[in-house]
Amino acid sequence: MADKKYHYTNIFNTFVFLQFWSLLNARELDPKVFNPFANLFSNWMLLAVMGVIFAVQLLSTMEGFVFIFENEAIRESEHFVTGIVLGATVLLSNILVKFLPQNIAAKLPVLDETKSVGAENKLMQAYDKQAQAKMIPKKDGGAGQGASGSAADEDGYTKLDA
Amino acid sequence: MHDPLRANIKEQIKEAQKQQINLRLVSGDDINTCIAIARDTGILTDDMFSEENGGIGQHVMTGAQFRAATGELITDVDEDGNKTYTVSNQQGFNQVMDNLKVLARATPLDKLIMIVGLNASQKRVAVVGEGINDVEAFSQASVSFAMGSGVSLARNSASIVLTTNSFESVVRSIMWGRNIYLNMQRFLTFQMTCNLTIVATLVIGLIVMFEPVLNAVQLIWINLIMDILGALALAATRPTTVASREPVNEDRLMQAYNYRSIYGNALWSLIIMMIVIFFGKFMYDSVDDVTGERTHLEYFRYT
Repeated sequence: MADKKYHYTNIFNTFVFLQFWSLLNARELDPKVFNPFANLFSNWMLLAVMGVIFAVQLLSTMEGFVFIFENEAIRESEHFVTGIVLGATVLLSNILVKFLPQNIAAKLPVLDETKSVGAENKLMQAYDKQAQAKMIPKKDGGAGQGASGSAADEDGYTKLDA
Repeated sequence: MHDPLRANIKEQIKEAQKQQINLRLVSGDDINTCIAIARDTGILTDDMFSEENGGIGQHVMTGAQFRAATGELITDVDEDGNKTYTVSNQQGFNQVMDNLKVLARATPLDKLIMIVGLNASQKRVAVVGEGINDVEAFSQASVSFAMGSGVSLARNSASIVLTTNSFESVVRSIMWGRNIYLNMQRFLTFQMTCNLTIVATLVIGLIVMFEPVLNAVQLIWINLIMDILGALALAATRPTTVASREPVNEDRLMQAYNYRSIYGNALWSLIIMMIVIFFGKFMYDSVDDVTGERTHLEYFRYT
C-alpha cells in the first residue's frame, strides 16, 4: 500500500506534461503545417508559461516541496523523464492526426454554433418547468386566516369550489 | 506632369493580394488617369489588357456605366431614422463585380452602391477614406479606416484611424483581425482537448481504482494550466503563421479539422493516461542501492 501515492504522483506528472506539449500543438492549427516548433520564439509569453509549468512541476515532485500537491518525491530521475517523454508523444499524435481525412470528426457530437440554447432545448424546458413550479404560492394553514372564514383542509390547501 | 506614387506602395499591394484581399480603385479622376495609376500600382496586371481574356473593358468602368449596370440604390427609412439600402439590380451587380478592378469618375453614391452590393453578396468590405462624403460609406462597411489627415467628421465615424497615413496599416490590421480569430480557435482546441482527457481519465480512474486518481489541489493546478495559463500563452500568438494570411470562414468558429485534432489528440492522451494507470506498477521500478535488484511498486489494487 505504501507505493500507491507514488503511482498517483506519476499519473499527475504525466498528465501535466501532456498539457505542456499540447500547448505547442495548439499553436499550429493549419492542416498543412506539420512542424510544431515553427516560429517558436515569436511568442515569448508561451515560452514563459511553459517555463512556469515546468518549474512548478519539477519543484512539486522534489523533496521539501511535495506538500504543494500532496505528492511523494520522485525517487529516480528516469521516472520524471518518463512523464516528459510520454507527454511529448502528443506532438507525434498531432502529426498523425493531420493525415486523417478532414471530416472524420464531423459526425461526432459537436455543439452546433449556429443554434443558441433557447426555449426549444429540452434541458431548458425542464428547467423552466421546475422554476415555474416553485413560483405557485402555497397558501397558509387555516390557523392564521380565521377571519376570512375559508375552509382549509388539514394539509393547508384551500378548496377552490367552496 | 506626373504625380508620383507613395514609397513601397507596390510591395504593399502585392502583399495584400497575397493575403487574398481583393483591391479595387474607386476614384473621381478621369478614366485614363485611373488606368495608369492602377497599372503602376499593380491593381491592373498586364494580362488583364490582353484581348484573349476579354479586354480591359470588363475591368474598368466609369461611374455612369456602373450605375446603368447595377440600377438605383433603394433607401428605406424605419421609424427610428435608421437607413437600410438595397441595390435594385443585385444580379447585374454581381456580374459586374466579378471582374471590376477600377471605377473612374465615381461619385460618393457609386461607392455606397458598391459597399451595399458587396455586403448583400456576403463579402466583407473595408473602406479607406478621408472626406465628408465617405461618412455614409463608413457606416455601411464592415470595417472603415479614416486617414489621420482626414476631416474630423470622417475620423470620428471610422472604426479605425490610420495615424501613419499608410496603406500598409490597412493590410496589417486585417492580418491582426484574422489572427484574433485564429487565437480563439487555438485556445478552444487546447482547452477542449485537455477537458475531454481529464474527464475521461477521472471517470475511468474512478471505475478501476475506486477512488479519484488526482486529488483536488492537483486538479486546481491542471485547471489553472488549462484556463489561465493556456489562454495567456495562446492569445499572445503573433500572426506569423501561414494561416493568418488567409481569409477565415466566418460561418463557424471551429472548423472540421479543429474537431479532428481535438478528438484525435484527446484519444491519444487518454491512451497514454491508461498506460500510466494500468501499467504504472511495472513502469516505476525502484532499484536497491546495495543489491541492485529492481522491485515493482507494491500496493494492492482492487481489480
